[in-house]
Amino acid sequence: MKLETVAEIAHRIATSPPLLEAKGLCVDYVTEAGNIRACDDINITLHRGEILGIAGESASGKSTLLAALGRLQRAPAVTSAGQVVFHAKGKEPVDLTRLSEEQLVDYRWSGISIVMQSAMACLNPVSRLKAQFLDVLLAHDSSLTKATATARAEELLQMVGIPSHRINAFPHELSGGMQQRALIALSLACDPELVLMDEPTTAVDVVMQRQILAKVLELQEKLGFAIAFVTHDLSLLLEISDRIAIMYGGKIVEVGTAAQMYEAPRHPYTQGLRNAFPPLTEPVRKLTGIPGSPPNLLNLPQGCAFAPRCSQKIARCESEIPALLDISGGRAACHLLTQEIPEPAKEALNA
Amino acid sequence: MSIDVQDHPPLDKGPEPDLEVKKQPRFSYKARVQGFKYLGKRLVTYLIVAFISLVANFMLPRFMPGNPADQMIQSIVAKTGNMPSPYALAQIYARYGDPNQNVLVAFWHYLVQTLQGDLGLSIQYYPVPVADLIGRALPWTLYLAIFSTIIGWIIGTWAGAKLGWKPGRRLDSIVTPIAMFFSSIPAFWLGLLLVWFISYKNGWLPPQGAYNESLAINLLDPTFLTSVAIYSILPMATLVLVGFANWMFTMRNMMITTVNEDYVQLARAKGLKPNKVLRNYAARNALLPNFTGLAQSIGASLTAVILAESVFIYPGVGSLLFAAQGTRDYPVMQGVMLLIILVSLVFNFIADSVYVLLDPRTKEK
Repeated sequence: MKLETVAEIAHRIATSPPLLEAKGLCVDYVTEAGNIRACDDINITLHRGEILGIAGESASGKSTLLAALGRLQRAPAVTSAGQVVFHAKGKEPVDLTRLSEEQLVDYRWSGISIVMQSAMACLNPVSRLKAQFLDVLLAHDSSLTKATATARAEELLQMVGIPSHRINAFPHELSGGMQQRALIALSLACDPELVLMDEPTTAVDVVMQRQILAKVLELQEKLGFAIAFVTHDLSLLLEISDRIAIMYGGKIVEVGTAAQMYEAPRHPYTQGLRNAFPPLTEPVRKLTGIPGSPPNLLNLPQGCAFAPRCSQKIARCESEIPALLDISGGRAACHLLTQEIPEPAKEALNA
Repeated sequence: MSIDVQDHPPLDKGPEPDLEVKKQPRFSYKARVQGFKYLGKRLVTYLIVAFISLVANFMLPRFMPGNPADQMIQSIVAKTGNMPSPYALAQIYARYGDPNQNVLVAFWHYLVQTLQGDLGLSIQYYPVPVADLIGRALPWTLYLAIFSTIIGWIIGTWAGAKLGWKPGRRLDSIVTPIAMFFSSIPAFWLGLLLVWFISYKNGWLPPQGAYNESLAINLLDPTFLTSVAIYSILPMATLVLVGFANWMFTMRNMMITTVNEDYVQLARAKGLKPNKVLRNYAARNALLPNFTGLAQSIGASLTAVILAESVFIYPGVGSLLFAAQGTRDYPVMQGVMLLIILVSLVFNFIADSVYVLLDPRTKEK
């Protein structure tokens, strides 16, 4: 991977055609205590071949968003508003939220596939890897025979560094790292245009995490699929993503290229996340966390959801919800960025 | 596969541990040996249980108040007018306690006799050997027990998988209360209702017996087999109706949890047909506890079968036991008890063997 400049990345994304667009997407959890809006008015466009990172604290709605993008949410989660427009290769753009489960089959796995957090829980414990590769290969490509599908499955396993004879293994016979890599191989089985990754490396140690990410990036570059990568680990996203979206309280609060996020985060929440992990190359400094805890989605504050924890809040923050606006290359939802601010606060922002 | 180091400066660290390519046969020798080892261990457990039940069978009459051996001899004398033969006497003492004999020696005699298939002589039908009586009754009972359990299991598991796949639907709210109703009726009571309504009121099916007694017992004669099938419809239906609901409930509940497992979600995301997801992913995993239950319950279902047999006057072990209780025919009662234990153990062992095949993870434990 060549190291691109911020401008190059921005240019590449801007010129690449859109692949998946979320427009005003809302996801509610229907509970007895009322509807909980886990994703609120999400607008984001994922381009072909792009790696989009989605970060946020627990309960920020990031996994819910990912499931909604892949139309995989299960009760009690309901997509209550908005569209998910998927631009499949050689097909008309289609709003996935309007499709029935039967119609979605055409887009599943060959269009959008998913890698989930715990590989052990994602592989069917009672069947061999071979069966789990073959059923999806044969379901989506009628030209394959059993023999050619097996060959393809072996090739996929080799691609992620698993010897092809392990195709006859049961999931419990593989190590945790191998399981995760097998799952990644599985996700690539039908040449997807988009791979959703929901914390795919959380269950393995850091060394294995490195290897898996390197493998994913290598394959991504070779095969050109787009990735939506969800994690709470912002430092990891900074390293692998083209762009990063930060979620808080069910909303996207900031979007920008990884470099922008690292060097000049705009939103006070992103700044808080950014300041919570140590730099490798800079002198040691005191790390600061974000005081307080994530908001209760059943009882969100009237204004900005982050206002109660925000050290820079102004009067407007507590009464008015900030909109996600274009701000110098990226997008952010913060009143501080749209108003005339006194000098000291500006310094704090640019710090 | 190696990672291209030059291309990924920040991410190239760490060895790749899974690279050594060893040739491995499809069903590895190791896994197979582990499977046999597991079964071998289970077999030893069952043999120990069988031995303990033999000991209990030997000890219990010796703890009974009074002296069952003397009582037995008296009732034989009263019945036949003669003293039992020396062989019969020896047998009675061996099984029911001879005050003049060392317990260990007596146990040895008992063990040798039992292992030779000699369960003593029936009092009620003196001098018919108990083994003969049981041998005649057992096939009928096994036929009812095995078929009714399997049919009930298949219906219950299938219905449970359907209901648990989408719980709370209309089908669920209709079928579940009906099944609850049937499962709470005692088998003999449902049997009586069926006999009254179907046989006596309408004469659709024969009310009792196991086959048309004007026919000779011949397993190769289609007329005889048809007659057996027709005569067994009522007892079979009774046992199935009473038995299927429990399978349905366990399967339904297992399905509800399994459907939310990640691998079922992933199968959905793969775009497989819903039926395939249900069968190969959800039901296939939810089935496992029901499978262990199946073979075990064939043993356990003998109790229900015994009650149902008495309603339908079916010539199985149940009817034999009933008659034996009335006449204090201890040899028959003990023989039946021993048999039920052994049959249960055999089916438990079958359940274990099948489970090893179905769930590869058991081999490792």
